[in-house]
Amino acid sequence: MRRGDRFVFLALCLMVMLSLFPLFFRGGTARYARVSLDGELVERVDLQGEGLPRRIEVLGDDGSRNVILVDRGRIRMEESNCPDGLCVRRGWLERPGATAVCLPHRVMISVEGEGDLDAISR
Amino acid sequence: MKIPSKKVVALFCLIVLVVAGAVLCHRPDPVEKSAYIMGTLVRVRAWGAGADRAVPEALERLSALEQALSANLEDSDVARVNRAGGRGVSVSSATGDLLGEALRFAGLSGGAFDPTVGALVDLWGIGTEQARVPGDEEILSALERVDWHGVRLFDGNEVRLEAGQQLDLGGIAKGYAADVLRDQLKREGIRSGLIDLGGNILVFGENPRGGKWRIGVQDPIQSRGGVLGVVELREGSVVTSGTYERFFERDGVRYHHILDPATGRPARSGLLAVTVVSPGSLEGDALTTALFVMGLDLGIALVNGLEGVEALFVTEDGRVVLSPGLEGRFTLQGEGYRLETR
Repeated sequence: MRRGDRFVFLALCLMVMLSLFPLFFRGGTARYARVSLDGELVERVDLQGEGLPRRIEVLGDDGSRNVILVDRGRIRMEESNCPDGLCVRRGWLERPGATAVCLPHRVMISVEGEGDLDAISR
Repeated sequence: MKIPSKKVVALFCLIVLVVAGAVLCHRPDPVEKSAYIMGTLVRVRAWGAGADRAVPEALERLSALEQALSANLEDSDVARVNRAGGRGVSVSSATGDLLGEALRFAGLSGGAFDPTVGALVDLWGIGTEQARVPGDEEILSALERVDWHGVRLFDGNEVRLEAGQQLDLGGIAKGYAADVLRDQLKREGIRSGLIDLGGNILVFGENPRGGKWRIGVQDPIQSRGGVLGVVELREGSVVTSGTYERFFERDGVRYHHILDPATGRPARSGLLAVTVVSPGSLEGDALTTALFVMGLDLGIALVNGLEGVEALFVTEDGRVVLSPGLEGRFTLQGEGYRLETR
């Protein structure tokens, strides 16, 4: 193999690797989560950022209060003064596409990304 | 000018190929919107030209349907029928259609699904702050007002109940709405779409991600919080009803929201959840309730007699039972369950 051939070969390998790169991130670990109140984004949370674990308090006009706990790579509803508490029972969200909804307060946490499911029937 | 060497040409071609490949493999981004309508979180996702306009229109349509169908809104058709105390009331064609379908499924299920459970729903108040365990006398007196045979539908748009009866279409309104939205999106030229009405899933068109649509089914045991398994389908509806959705607990007993029109109490049929896979969401919504109340044996017999409808039952003793058409289309992921086909 001549010098030039080797260069082409290396360039080829590099490009194949680069083009496959996005595949490795499909359904991978959770990086960001979105917290919304009544459909409006409250915060886009970096699940790999500094200062974790930390808490986010979401207060509604009607006295509703939800506390969200952010940890490395995962997030959950920790407290809610809603009547049923179903959102808190939902537990940790880790996988892309996972959601926890507090219907009475219209607060939603969702982990960004598609994961390998299109939707969840519940 | 110097002629480029073969290597440079080869390199150039390669770059073109890689870029073209990346562009072709790129999955088009859908238009997605969510809103709180019909007391639940609604998500609509659509692919295709015109989705920017079609998705917001779909959500507006849904709000309009809610105005007609909710028992809780004062001016809704259902509320007016319930206040009429046995007199005839004219309703919108949407309400008439839905009620007609509700009566059909009431008949099919031998009354396990009953659109006149309103009095019982009000009495228990499950999912509201007034939830409580009523006394036996109260339940008996509410039960006297539950019987779908008492509903009369004239010319598709005039409804009359027997005095004291209360309609509650909550059990199928979401399924009906999902079907209406799908038809509207298709008419607007939407190629592929996913409608999620608080966990009632309806998909149409080819999945732009490739292959079949993959819909997870919620594990009914809440503490696990995960996915029971995955249903694969080309098109259609996946609806699940379970004891975990809405309930309250008193003295260690869980009272869930699926009421048995025969006993007037939350159904105790040995099931934790039922999932129905069907072409339309209305039938899925009506049948999950009916099958849950009927229990595994009667339920699977009903499903196996219906064209194009499949179901998955999760029993209290940890079995996941599939109707034959789901074999090979459902992958179990939850731990501690046994898979069976009947």
